[in-house]
Amino acid sequence: MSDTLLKVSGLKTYFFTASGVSKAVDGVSCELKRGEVMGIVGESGSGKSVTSNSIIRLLPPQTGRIVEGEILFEDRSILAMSHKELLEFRGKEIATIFQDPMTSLDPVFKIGKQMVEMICAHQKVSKKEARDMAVHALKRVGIPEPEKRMESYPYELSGGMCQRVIIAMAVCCKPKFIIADEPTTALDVTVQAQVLDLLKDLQREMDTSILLITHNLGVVWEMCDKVMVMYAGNTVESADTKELYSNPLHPYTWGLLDSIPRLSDHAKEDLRTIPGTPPDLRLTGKCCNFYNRCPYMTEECCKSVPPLVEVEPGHFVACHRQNGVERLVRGEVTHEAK
Amino acid sequence: MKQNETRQPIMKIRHLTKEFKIKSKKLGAKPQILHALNDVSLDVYEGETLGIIGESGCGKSTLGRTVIQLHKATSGSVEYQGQDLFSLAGAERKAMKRDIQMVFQDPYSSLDPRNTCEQIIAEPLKVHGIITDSKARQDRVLELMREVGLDIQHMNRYPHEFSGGQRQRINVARALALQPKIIICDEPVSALDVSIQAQVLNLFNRLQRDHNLTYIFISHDLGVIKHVSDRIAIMYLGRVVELCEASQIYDNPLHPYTRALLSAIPPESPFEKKQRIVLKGEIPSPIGDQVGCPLAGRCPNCTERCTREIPKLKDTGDGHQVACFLYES
Repeated sequence: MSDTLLKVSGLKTYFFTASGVSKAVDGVSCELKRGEVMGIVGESGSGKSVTSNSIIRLLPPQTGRIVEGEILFEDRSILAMSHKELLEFRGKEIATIFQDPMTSLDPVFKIGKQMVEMICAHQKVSKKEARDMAVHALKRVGIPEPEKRMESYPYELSGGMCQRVIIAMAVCCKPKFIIADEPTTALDVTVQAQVLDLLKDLQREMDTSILLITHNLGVVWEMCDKVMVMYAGNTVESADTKELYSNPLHPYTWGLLDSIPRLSDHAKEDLRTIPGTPPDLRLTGKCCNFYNRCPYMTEECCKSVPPLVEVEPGHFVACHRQNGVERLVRGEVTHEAK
Repeated sequence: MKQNETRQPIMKIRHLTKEFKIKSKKLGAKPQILHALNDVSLDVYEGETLGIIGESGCGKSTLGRTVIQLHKATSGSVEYQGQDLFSLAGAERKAMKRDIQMVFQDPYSSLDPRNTCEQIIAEPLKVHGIITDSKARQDRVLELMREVGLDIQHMNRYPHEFSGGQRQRINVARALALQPKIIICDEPVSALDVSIQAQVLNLFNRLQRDHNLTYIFISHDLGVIKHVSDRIAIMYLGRVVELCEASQIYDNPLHPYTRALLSAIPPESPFEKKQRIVLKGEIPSPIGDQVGCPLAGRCPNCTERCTREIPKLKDTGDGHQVACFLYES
């Protein structure tokens, strides 16, 4: 068996809406090895969640469609799977943790019932065994009095507790791959720290791969081995976490790193910002999507889409001016660009 | 800060308490009491930014709303330029409201979807009868739009046509319309993306310099708070547990809760390794009477005394105040 668990190449997911075709994901490629944690960062609307939903094929059937690309999971094509295969596949091989813990549990069923239902669907066990497994999983994720909690409804638990329940459900079937879509965004910092610690522990214990979607770079630094930066549906940069932090190459990544207020900053200094706003996804795809906000823009940027090139081993960038031939200096705006 | 000793505070919040009654599920039973704010006293100085930080449910938003009288305080007082705000009525009260404005958290729901951008920004001018001539009012609206960085061609657009960052700019323009002295910002950037958040934070800083504004800035993000504030108050369960200069919170945090909060923040680089101080469990319920320090059940330094008495906010020197028995001699 090869070392690569998941391989996404040239994925394009479009939404066909009444007002035009929205190119939510327009060329995403990534590779994930066994036991690796990869982060996807980007602003809202950059296509992070659509990418993850494409991987498990959870797109709205009326509008969303994967128009191009290939997703391989252990050399099996996810895009070629039938509905029945998918049902088997989701939850057992790939588990998902969604952003909002309160709404991803069904409010009218008890926690225990929801967990038992999930376990029985994927494993050939009796209800009693499934129940024991559920209690064990709840205990593992640090929920006090797990037996009592089995009889609780989701509204009786706090946000952090609900997220633990969801993580417990996700790890019940020992999946090889977990997609965590903004797992801590709805939580407070102290609770976020607890949940991240838990995820990290579980990941090490079971040697699972995690695809962590977040807009918080701090979470990426803490959790991930490698990271992919997305902008307007494209992968703009992807590298090892440490490499990306110490040697970011894409102008958007520079802007992103600069615009975060840090604790170690001096107070009241103006932050360096990225001017403007992200583009309309119906109009992208003809040129570099970042050109109108980029201080290093040249004529070429408005003409063609920059390809994703490997400038250093494992470090991919999609920028006309950073493709290995040319090199930009951070903070130095050239004449042409002005 | 030495300056503050001579400076008079523009606003004095004294022993502010807010309790909400919660109906009991049982028929005829007494309602339970939720203590949202407990004996909060703060001074706000002119031209400064007072940052207020805490986790959800700690009462930081209630504080902002009680100061501006969206909630009626249970007890305590707020003094603004020597006047007790809660005793004002009629015309005086209206005049006071001109000086204290608010920017809300959610840029989507805090703008009336049926009004255009121009109408939204002009409304406070109309209500307070500041500019009665409609042409002059429009000029003022355009001036405000330019000031906050909105395109004046968009004045006839409706809120849904703007992005989140632009909507928050409309909110700021509306608050600025009355030329207030104090603006209470209740999580103004938490609904925005980082690149847009940075733009809005810079806008707040610039407006403060230009208009000598005073901000009470409420947020749950320590990075943001540290960036905008001169002084920071850390709240936990309806109480201020630490109050200090913005630089001190990072260099010299005193309260165990502040330390835990700082250690829980994700690192700033992949090379940084943090010693995490874990607070066990979760924030306790604010319902019912409190005995002892609110942090007692979770604190690593908890002593027997903490479970009996509530520590008071005390000065440890340099204006650094902390409510913890560890620092009482």
